[in-house]
Amino acid sequence: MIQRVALLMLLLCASVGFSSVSAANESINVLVLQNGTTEAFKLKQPIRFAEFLAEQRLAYTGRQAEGNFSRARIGNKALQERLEQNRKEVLDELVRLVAFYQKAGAINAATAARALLQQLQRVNLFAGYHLSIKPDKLRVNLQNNFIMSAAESPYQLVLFSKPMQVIRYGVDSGNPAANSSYHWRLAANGNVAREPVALFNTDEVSRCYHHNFGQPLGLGDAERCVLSKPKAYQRPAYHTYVGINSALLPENFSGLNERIVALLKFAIEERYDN
Amino acid sequence: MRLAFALLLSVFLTACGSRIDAMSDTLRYAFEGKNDITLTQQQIESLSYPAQYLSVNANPRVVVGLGFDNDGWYKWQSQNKAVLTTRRGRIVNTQGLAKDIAYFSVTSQTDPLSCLSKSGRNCESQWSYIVQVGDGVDAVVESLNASFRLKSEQETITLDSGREFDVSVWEETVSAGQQSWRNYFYVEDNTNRVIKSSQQLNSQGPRFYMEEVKAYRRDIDKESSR
Repeated sequence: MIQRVALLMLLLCASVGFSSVSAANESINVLVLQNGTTEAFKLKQPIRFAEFLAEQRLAYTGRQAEGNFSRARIGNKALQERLEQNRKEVLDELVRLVAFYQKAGAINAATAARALLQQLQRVNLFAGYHLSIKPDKLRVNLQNNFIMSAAESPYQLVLFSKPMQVIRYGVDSGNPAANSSYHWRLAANGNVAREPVALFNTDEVSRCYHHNFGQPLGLGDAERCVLSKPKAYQRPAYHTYVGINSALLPENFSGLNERIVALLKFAIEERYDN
Repeated sequence: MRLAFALLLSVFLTACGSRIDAMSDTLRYAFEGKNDITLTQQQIESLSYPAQYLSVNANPRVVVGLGFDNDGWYKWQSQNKAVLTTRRGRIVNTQGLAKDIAYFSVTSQTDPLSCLSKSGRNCESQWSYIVQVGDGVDAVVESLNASFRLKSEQETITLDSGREFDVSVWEETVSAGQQSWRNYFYVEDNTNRVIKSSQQLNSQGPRFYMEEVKAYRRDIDKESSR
């Protein structure tokens, strides 16, 4: 009995030791995309995200001041694949919706759905766990200064040097099938908000969704919020989305606008082939 | 708890420039309460790193310590882990406030304050810049125009640290649309460093009040070139 236990212990120690050696030998790959170029890094051991930024001089140098880290985001290949899978499902949904409206003779709604389909086919999506990176806070707050490890490799990090080019996604406002009651704001930090924009609901409170890095592909945690409108001399620094009028969506397409928003929160203007 | 935090901080702080250790001392002083922080002379002398008084709008004054010097961009850290970046005395980025200055870019000419705090002479007085406030669903971008004028020179002021300095006071008028406001920068005559300021980068604030408590050696070393 004792010999059997000893043998099991020996096997256990050997397997743990072997896996440790294996993990130590697995490199951590990071793809960094910025200014239209991509650069690949191979790390030999786990490292804090802030340390990676420092070692590769992506932050904490004078160059950081020239960048727009409010638009930066980091994810990994696995998350990107899941996001693309979600996009495919929404595209399939839109194809069915177009067919439904065409069969029903709802021309405006069919046009709206087709426009959304084309936009979602073309839009560049870059998945991220963490959006809007604050490099300086990473150094003093461990919560977001995660450890980059082989288990989540390969990582993908996108950096920008210019302000956001604000884009209006969705249905043309001239289309009667456009949602004229609620519009969506899509922020650089992954937060989104559904904003009442009609006269009848002008006193209604908006609904804000806070990006959750634990469940990044969802809308996030919702709460009621009050949004401010940009002044005449200000420009918004968020994208907007106008969906299909919810009243025109068949029951089995309910929530489609929200599913589209969950994709568009990862939209970026630039295209990278990674 | 504080010791554990100080140890964690000392382990994970990295920098390409100067590293400021023992931030826990500053953090111990920089607690936020209902009253302004005022350090005694002994406390100031015992600081082993540069520090400033900082108040934001009408909030109580706190102490921020210089955590990093990244190629002349200074990172000032508060006890609640907010980080302010200054460049030659101007706040150009914040991380951890309710509405951060998320992006700042000069769009024409250079910031006159950069010239004033370097040579102090023959500096352009007009410039323009854009600033992004926030990164969330309320984020906005403003385009601003500003101009400098000399309000007074060879003025002697006493800081709250008790030290006396001869300064030139520069007044900056900033406008965005129909909004305009004024900023003030107190430039020390010998080193041209900004030792006191009242500044607001965008139309809706906040307004920052900064005052030197303990100087950064690099700023007072005339022979260092930047």
